[in-house]
Amino acid sequence: MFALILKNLKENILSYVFVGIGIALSLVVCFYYQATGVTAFTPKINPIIIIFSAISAGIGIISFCAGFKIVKYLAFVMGLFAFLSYVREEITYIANIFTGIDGTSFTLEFILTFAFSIAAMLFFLVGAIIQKEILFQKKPVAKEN
Amino acid sequence: MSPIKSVKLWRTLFVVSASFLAVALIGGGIAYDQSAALNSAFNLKTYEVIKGDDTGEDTEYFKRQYTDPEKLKEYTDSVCRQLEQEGMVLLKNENAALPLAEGNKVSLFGQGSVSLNYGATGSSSTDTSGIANLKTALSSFEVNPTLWDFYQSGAGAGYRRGKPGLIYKMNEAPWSEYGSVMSSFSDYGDAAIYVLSRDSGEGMDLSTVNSDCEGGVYLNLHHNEREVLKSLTALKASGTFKKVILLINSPVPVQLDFMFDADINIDSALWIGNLGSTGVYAIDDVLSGKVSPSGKLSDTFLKDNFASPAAATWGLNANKSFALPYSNAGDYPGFNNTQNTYAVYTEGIYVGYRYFETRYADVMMGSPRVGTFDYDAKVAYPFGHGLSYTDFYYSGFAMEEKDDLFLFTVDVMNIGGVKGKEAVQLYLQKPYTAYDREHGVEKSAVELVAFEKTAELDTGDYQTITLRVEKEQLRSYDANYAKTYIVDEGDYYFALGTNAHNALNNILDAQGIVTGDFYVDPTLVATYHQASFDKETYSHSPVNKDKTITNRFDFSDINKYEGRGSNSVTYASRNDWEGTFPKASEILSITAMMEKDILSYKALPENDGSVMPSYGRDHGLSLIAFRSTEQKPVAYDDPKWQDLLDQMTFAEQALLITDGQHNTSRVLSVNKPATKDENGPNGVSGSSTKASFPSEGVWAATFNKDLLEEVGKCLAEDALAVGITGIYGPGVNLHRAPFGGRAHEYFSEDPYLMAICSVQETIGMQSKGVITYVKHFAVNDEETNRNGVAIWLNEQEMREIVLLPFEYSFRPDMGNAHATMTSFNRIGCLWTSASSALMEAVLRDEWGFDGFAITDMASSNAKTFMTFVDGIANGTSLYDGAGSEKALDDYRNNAFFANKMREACHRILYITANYSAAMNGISAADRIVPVITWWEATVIGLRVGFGVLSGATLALLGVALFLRRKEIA
Repeated sequence: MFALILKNLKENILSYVFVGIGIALSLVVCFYYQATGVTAFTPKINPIIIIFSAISAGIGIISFCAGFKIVKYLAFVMGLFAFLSYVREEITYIANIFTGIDGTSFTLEFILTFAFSIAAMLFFLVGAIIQKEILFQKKPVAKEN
Repeated sequence: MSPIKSVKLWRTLFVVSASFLAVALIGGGIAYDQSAALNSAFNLKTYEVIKGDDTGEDTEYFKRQYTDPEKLKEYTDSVCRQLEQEGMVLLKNENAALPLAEGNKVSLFGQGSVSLNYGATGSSSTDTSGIANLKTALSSFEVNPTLWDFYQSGAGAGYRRGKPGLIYKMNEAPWSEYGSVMSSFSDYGDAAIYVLSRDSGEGMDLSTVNSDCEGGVYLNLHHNEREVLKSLTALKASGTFKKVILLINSPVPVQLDFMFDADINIDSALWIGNLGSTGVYAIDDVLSGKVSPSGKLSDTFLKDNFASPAAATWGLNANKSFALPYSNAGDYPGFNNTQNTYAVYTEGIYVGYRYFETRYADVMMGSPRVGTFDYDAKVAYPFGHGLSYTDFYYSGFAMEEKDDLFLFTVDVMNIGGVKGKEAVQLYLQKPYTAYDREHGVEKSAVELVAFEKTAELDTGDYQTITLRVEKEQLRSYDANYAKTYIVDEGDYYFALGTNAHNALNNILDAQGIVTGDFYVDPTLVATYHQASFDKETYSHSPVNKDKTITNRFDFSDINKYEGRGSNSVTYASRNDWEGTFPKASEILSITAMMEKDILSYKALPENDGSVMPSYGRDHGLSLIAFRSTEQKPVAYDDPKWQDLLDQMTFAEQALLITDGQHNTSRVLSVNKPATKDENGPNGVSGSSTKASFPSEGVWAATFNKDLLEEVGKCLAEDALAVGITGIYGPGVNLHRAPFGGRAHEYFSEDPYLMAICSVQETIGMQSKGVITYVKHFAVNDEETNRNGVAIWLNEQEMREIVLLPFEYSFRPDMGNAHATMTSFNRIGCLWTSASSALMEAVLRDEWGFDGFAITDMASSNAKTFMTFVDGIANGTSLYDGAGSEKALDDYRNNAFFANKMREACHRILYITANYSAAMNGISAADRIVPVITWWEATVIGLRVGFGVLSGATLALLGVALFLRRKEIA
């Protein structure tokens, strides 16, 4: 089993680099949003965003052991959920900017949280797409003399 | 390979469907969060009326006059055009340069000629596509096509005003660009018409620094505008042009110093404001003489826009800004920009002409400490000024005292050469006594107290005009000693005048003071003597006699606020102009008490004796049965209302109060239909006719009460045609300084003129079953920093200047407006909607307001300072934002709050039942049932569809994985 995991890691090194970045970014989203998420428009932290980012990172970590593509896709879907939850949380702020009524503009904190969460999700997605599913490779059959 | 074993297939399908499920869940959530906005934007009905037995009642409680769309369009077009005809103001007309002769060949200058301001941005924005341009509208003349093309598509087309980087800029074309088109001028030389345009909009005041106009101030001339006007002056001197005409296409007063410069020679000038959808045709009507101008300025036009105390304070502040951060804001890192900025209204009552005319009077009377003041150097055209193509003669001015009022009559005769209308203005001077000096009561040397407009009079015709002044208008608010309204002992002077300055000169002349005004007429002055000082008569509410009027706003006057610490400010006083005119910014710092008061989410009373109300009872009552009629009156405090309110569930109450974005929601338990309410003051958003009206300053400048009532009816007809039964307007905030970004939504610098405009519009609109939401209550006179900015002002200004238009609008004996929209700002440390002094003690107890109060747009601020708990606990009834049935669950067990919620619902239900055309078509036998809108059906479908698909594909993926593993093994 362990050999299989190692083999999976070796043969999918690039995929896991992407997943690793995705995990790091998901964790950054968790901590950065926790630190900067309270604004004039958002008086409370939305725990859903942190929970789904953390789940996304957790599934990403699990994918190192469970070498199924679907696991990384699941990390992507959780990341997508966290990202969309962030958009929902900030929708009045975003609408306020696009209506241009108050002269409010995007803050660095918003831009970074938005960028990190979308990047984390995309890294998981790319990691999943480029993974070779070695668990389903047939064992080579020894030739009989 | 069998598809069932295809891991790739099921995995792909699962990932795609799970992704769409996430989008459907979150996107659908956003849609539900914003359901009120969606329903409003797509004009969706959330309920259906199930007809019961025919009760035989006429359920068309409010009748529409214009059901034919074409007739409605004709009506709105004609009202808009008439508003502009009567509201544009002829500032100057040297040598009778206007009117122009029919068929004159004219050249239109300035980028404004091809990009006129019809409307503005924000809540008053309307669809301006398809509105005629100036060239088309000037059908009485031949317009220089070469110059027109220069601005439209030639070298001048690259120059357009805008707001790059949130700074208002003009970007006018320099004279050097005109080289190729100059040869066309001589063929179209009957007149050069220069259009001077300035924009305005919601959310930002007009730039006072960094604009590309002179001195960085947007309302000053751009250097290329000056260059073109000088060049036109030279071309007139050389004979290329016979006349230079100026059209000021700006809702706010442009600084007019240039009109008095020696190197700029303008023959005639017209202030036209923003034009609305058909106002542009009125320019042709007036330029050609088909209509004689009769508008009178609703604001003072200045040679120095920073000359008033309010504007001077603005100019003294860092970055010439209206608001400042508290000096120690850095010590409060937890405070955001809705909590740490403030502004001081240093002017007291001396807003607009009240300052210029009073200081002028004090100079003329030789009052002590008046300082250096040159009226002519400051004022270009006084409040109330406006010329005509004809002349009017006033005679037989008489005053009659009658119970609680004075009646004035005057004969107005047209003695000029063409027919026209005249706006008759009556001003009052109250005595400025030793008591006032001692106790800091301020008195304007002159103030408008009545006006009427004549019918169109032919040459030689006259009309007797009657003007009515309530004795109540003699009152002044003494915030320091009597702490109520007083009437000073002494002589009160009433004077007619062609403007505020002329009326004052008439009074001064009657007092024996020589003013040098050629046009003074002491026969247009009447006096009333008040024998004794009176602090009783107006110390009780005029509508609730048991309610005492006393200081309510000590907390908004930093000199009286108990937590002021070492803060203090100086308000302008005519007792010492020299010492009190602003000379530096008023710097304030946050004190410990202010810190506490600024914070939101204030604790609710616990165990205050309130009894938890009942919910969800079934008394079988329907809202329409509570519509009061002469035969069956149902008062607001009729006990039967409690049975109806008992039928509502807590969730229904929470939704009704919190989900008020452009609607009040349906309430199934009491058969209340949803109402649709829309922006805005200058035209109905989503109107089928696309009708928009000129800026409100133009309305006020008509001085025509009947016309203003007609505008109210017109807006109502336009609203009803698209199912709207409430309009967020009129706006009655103050033109406190020329730079207010939203001045196009407000009428005037004068509270009385504004009050009457609002009353007339409200009467017209509500007669059709459309509720007026008079806004923004209160002290929202500026836009930049409006979110949570603390306004500090004294109570005399608050009551006499800021609140007067609201008072007149709401009092049952005046406008009787049934709704108000509150403001984003604070008064003192408190958000306006969270001030029980404003929302309950004054609005309801003193003024007898019977309606409900909605917040300004709450979606972005409802979680910060515009909180549900603070607003509802202090008399706010409705939130202009996206709410839900669960929004108030945190307060479910607080009896005090539950009763406040119930009261808010009661207000909304009472007004809807009695005054809203939304009840049309509903009888006591009918039921309101919910309707699932198309977007709700779509969200449900997508969620269920992708949920099922995700589950199924995940299961099939599991099967495929199992089969593949088995195969491999």
